[in-house]
Amino acid sequence: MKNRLKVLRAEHNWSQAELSAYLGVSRQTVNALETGKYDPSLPLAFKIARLFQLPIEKIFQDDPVFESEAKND
Amino acid sequence: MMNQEAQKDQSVSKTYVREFLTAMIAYAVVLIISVSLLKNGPSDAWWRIPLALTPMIPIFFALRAFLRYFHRIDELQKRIQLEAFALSFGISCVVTFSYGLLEYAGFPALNWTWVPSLMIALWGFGSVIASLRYYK
Repeated sequence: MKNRLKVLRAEHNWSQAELSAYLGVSRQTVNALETGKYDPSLPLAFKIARLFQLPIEKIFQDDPVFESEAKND
Repeated sequence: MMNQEAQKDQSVSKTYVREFLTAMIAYAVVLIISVSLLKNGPSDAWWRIPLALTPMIPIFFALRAFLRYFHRIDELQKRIQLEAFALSFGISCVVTFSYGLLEYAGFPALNWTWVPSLMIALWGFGSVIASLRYYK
């Protein structure tokens, strides 16, 4: 699964430590999320969405959907 | 807020390491005393059974330290622990069962206390492997 966490975090000028504090997870977990090595649970995904005030699908994208959207662009 | 959360994350690990290490040092001390008393004491004393089990008291505190840590870590850290347990459980089953079968072929019978030692060593190894998968 792809996500825009790193971009969104940069837009807010937050460090990984800051984002991890807002989400109540460790900094390493934020790093694993950003690099796509770990997909969050639904509660954590909602927490991320609330924090950035975006719908979940604007942050996380399933790979096939993301590819077909890229083709349509 | 950020500093508090970052400190909380660090303090969770620090508390765990402190509590766990204290328990394991106490375990080593109690074990040495218990084993030496059992070896040198009378073989028919009633207190041999409770004395042999005294190292389990610090082990209980080590288990409590781990459970406290486990309940305070985040979801990815829990997943890493789960993968480490799965690896430890699987390899321990294969190794101990294989050795049990080898005993039929004449291998010497080993003390059961090797089983949890193997499981804990593999759990540590599994934690490193699983951490590398997500953190590297």
